[in-house]
Amino acid sequence: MTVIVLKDLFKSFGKVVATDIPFLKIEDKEFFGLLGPSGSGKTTTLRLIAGLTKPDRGSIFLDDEDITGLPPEKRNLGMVFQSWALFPHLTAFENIAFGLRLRKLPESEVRKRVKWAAEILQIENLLSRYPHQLSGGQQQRVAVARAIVIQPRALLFDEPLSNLDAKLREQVRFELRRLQKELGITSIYVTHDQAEAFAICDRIAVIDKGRIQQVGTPEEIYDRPANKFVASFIGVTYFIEGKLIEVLNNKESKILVKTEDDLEIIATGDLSKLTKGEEVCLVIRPDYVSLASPNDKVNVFEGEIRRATYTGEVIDYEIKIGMWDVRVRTSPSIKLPPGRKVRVKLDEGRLVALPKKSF
Amino acid sequence: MKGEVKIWDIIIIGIVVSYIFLPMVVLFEYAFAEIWYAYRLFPSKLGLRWFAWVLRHYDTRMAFIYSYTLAPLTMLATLALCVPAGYVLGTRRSKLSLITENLVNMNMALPVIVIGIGLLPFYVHLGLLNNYWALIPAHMIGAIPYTLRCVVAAFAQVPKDLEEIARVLGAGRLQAIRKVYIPLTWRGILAGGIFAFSWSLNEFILTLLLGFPGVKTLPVAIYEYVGGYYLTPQPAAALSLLIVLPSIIIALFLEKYVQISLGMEGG
Repeated sequence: MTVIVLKDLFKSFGKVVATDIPFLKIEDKEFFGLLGPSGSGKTTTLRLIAGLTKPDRGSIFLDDEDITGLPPEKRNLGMVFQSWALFPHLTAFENIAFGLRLRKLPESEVRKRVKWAAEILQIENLLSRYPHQLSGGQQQRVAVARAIVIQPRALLFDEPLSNLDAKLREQVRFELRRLQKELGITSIYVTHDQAEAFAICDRIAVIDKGRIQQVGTPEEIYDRPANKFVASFIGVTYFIEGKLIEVLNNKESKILVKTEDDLEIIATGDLSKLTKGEEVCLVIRPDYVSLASPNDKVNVFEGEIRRATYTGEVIDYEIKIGMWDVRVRTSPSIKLPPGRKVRVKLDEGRLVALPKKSF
Repeated sequence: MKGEVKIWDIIIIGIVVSYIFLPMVVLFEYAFAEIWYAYRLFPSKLGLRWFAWVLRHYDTRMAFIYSYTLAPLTMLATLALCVPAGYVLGTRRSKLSLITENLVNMNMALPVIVIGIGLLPFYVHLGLLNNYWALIPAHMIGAIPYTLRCVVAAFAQVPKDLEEIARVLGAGRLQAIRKVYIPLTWRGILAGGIFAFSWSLNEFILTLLLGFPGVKTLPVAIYEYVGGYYLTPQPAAALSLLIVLPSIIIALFLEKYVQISLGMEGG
């Protein structure tokens, strides 16, 4: 059992704050994601936990043990780097056995454990090969086997899939998640790829400029972004600005927002954070928008198609409503030319209003 | 057009090759000639007389011992200094390490005689003239830039994350060096060691300045034969070959085992 707790953890490089986390708790057996753009400090945070970087202040706990002062070799953690960092002078077997040999296990135990890890990752027949004789996907598996074989207290992943091609990457996501659930090892996964984080992680911390912007499940982060950074970083996001003119329904948090160009849009919002008359931003994503059917009466607006992009699975339309741009995706069977006037329905249940001052 | 290029290729290569090998041919002729009339292009009788002659002399026998003990000692001492330094300079590419490297490299551009003149007062003051052991640091001064270059390059080539993953997997700093860096850098370290070895073997100016006449290494002994009171090129040539021989063996060994495997790693 391993619970990871970060307390008042701070690290800066010169004037750049890489990590500034007042408190973060990662639960036992949880697959936790650190998601953020490059340079946001997520990798630094992972390296602080691994002991590869020393924090300026703060502490890191594994369960109740303060490991802040321990060197990396005393922390008993498994780690997978973006480059996989396989030892080029060792075979796959010796790579996997590296941590076991340092622990001075008897040869029979080493063999048994390497075999166990190799079976889980389906690389039994590759063990005699050197890293340069392995494909990217195989190298990644060896790196994961090397991390789990030492039975670490926690696993740390630093963008381990970003060197794989897109198709393989998607497949390996599910495998990694299944593996982590089977082994039940508390894990932290660093990535800049939202789809990857959503597919793999139980909970995610969205990080920007070294600070956690929001912690939550993928659904919470997608549907109820805490601020504009989270809203714009996750998914394809457009914004409509306006003023909260009326609270329609307290229980369902329904509000009415009026824009500069007099569109009146119904949306949801956290009423504990919003007050009447306040300037707000509406988060609009393609899946909140649809072409209105004749029955739709509420939250329907006139728009004009500006651009249509065929992607195979869908047609992606950019539509102008008043002075605002939104995107909508439809089945490829609905073909509409640019310039066509359409009626657009905004899903008032999912349209989220955020206070503009939080931006 | 193509033919023209080929002719020029042959001429240029010919010039380069003869530039390197003609002195060697002359050296061989002198060393093995027992009877050689002045008007003949080639000697009339070949033999090992001059080799026997130089080996009979106490001075040359001592020169052998001096040269071939100083060279490995210089090599070991240079490596003892350059491997830790190379680890630091090669793995932490900070501004300080770049400056250090540049300073050390500047040493290569200095004529050895300049270094020797700088060292002389030290040695006089400390009473280290004619001292065998004191020649080791003197030889190291010239060897270090070359050795350090090899070693730094070898360490810099190893990706940083290999050391880091070794640490996370349970290796202390020394274990990481032993299990990761040494297996990946030994060729560079070996090449650096051989540079130090051959530098020491070739070293002439500092040895003459600081060691003569108490410690005469092979180059100094050869110089005595040709540049002393009597001009005797034949024992000098025989002695020169005796220096060159181990160097050739080392060069062949390097070419066969070190260079080739380096090339394979790159590919």
